[in-house]
Amino acid sequence: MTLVLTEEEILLVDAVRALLARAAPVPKFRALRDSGDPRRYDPDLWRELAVSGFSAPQIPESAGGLGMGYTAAGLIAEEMGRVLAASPFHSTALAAELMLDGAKADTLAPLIAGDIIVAVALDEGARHAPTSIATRAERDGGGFRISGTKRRVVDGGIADTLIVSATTAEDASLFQVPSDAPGVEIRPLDLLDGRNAADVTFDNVVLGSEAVIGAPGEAAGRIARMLDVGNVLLACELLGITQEAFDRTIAFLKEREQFSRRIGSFQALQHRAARLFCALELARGVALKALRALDEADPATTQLASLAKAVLTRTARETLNEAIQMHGGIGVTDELDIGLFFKRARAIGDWLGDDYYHRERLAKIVWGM
Amino acid sequence: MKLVGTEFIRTQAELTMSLTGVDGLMWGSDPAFDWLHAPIGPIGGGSNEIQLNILAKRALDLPEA
Repeated sequence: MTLVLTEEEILLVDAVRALLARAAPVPKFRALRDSGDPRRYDPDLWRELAVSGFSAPQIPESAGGLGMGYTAAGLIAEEMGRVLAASPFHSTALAAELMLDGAKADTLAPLIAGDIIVAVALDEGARHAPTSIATRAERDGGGFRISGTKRRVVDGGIADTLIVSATTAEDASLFQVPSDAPGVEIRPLDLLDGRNAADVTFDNVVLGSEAVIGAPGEAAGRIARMLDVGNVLLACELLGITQEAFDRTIAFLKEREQFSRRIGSFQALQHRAARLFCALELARGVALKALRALDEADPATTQLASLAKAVLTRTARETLNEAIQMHGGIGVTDELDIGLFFKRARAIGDWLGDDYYHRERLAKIVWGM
Repeated sequence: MKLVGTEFIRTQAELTMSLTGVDGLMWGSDPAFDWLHAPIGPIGGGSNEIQLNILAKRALDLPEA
């Protein structure tokens, strides 16, 4: 598949952009943040995205989805980044990925329809470390008893159901837990991006054997696949955030006057802007390559996913720093949207591993270091 | 001094954010406070672009455009 968009994909982008421009422009997110609404997402927007088939377009038809592919999902994530649309898009993609191949079809259907929110409880420390799982699931009669604490469960404060990774006698396993089950304690986090996340403690939560996703001890492959998808979609949102911040900065350089000249006429700034342009075009290619890899089951998918997340996290950071610097004093004020993009880019760059994490992972995968 | 110092502080704040993960991403945390204030350094009190201009002209004696 080529690294340009097909006609169909361009039509999809236009449709999503139009919907988001109407239903979720940036001032809408700002109003949500300022309202103090503890849900920290826009239920009306999420419903509309689900009805339009934009909430989880990648789910194959065989699993009850639209079968539009990961590229479609990535393009939607990018558009959501451009307007900072507050929705449980990523948590839905992660949860859905764990339930493909027939596991938990009864949860997957309402999830795709946008009727329920499912959050994935994976990490246990402050930094991403998906394979160190201290949470234990002990056999208890015919079922299990789970204890442990999970950090940064994105959309954990609005989830109907949690999917939690835990170690059983066999190995890493996944369990589906109702968020109101006895022994589940959800503590909302006040993160810089103003979006929903929580720490969750499971204290002797009793589950039936039907709570297991797949088979006990066989979660590692499922989690790895989920992380590939999650990191690529996060990279796509970072691309949208970065492109939007860059476009706004270029517009500012053309308009702002200082020393009785427009600041965009200074060669020093022109060269810096041109460098950012190059970095962004390269990053766009990397993101699209990773999306195509997911769609085509490319054997290099995992390394391309890490590459995409590493490149986009860094490109976003460098571009946002420059965007703020070029805006000058006004760039650091809350009044200007640039700060909102800056915080969101930092938050999702960190989620599921930042550029340092993914560079190290790439070194291991590619060179066995 | 101002040029190198403010950029160093920004890099340091970013690294601290990376190291502290979700703890640093919380409002009210020390890493978040430092990271949110770090961009002011290179802008305020004569931006680093102005400092570079001064260095080019005074220290290096380069000609005007």
